[in-house]
Amino acid sequence: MAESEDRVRTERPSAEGRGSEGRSSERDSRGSDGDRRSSDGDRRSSDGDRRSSDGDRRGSDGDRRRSFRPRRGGPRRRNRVCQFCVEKVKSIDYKSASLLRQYINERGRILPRRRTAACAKHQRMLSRAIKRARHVALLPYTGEHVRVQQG
Amino acid sequence: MRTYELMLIAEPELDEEALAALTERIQQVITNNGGAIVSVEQMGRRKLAYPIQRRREGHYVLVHANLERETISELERSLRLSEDVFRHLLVRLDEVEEAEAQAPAPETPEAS
Repeated sequence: MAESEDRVRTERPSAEGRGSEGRSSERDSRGSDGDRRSSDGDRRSSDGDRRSSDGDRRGSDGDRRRSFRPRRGGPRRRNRVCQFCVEKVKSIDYKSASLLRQYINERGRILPRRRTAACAKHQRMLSRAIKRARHVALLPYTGEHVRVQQG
Repeated sequence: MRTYELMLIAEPELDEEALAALTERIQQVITNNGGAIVSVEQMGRRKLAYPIQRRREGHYVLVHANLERETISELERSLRLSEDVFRHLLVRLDEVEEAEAQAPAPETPEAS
């Protein structure tokens, strides 16, 4: 990391340096950070091609939540990996309510794939598990505030 | 014969004795109809995520059992009739185990 910062200071405007740093920390949370860093060291060119061109750099913060926003710098999909696949999840247990709770919003609705970043298979498992959990009252069908209002 | 998981939610007013009697009855239904109990776990009294007919809590019981098709229909019937059980969920468990049984043998060319 020290090396790349060095390079930024000498060769590039500082604004861009900040951009790439922010990005790598964001990747951290998704666990594919290792790739990113090594492509910074510009050995792995194929990786670099896929990820590091201009449009990606801007607006990479917001579009986790707002993926419908038109991206500046051309159409670009960051390739994101299903976390369930990364962890090689074979099944999702409906009893693990605290896990499933992460994948419903405050109104109790199942988050769409663009929010969960799950692949089709795991999204199916996830939604099935959530529905089972709802049936046995481990998860709510609706948010508390919705229920209170309607009685 | 497949392995199933049964989760049932019983009336919160039941005391320990009544709860034990209830689980005993359920086990009877299973074994008398050609099923075999694998395990029974009391998950305790828990708060429901939403009220079910004014109830805010329930005793959760988890049963793993090997069941035949006929056993299932009989079990479901008695669960619906039981006044102590107000909600139940019966799901097949062996989907997972089959997948896991196939997974540790990646040497065979037909995998994936």
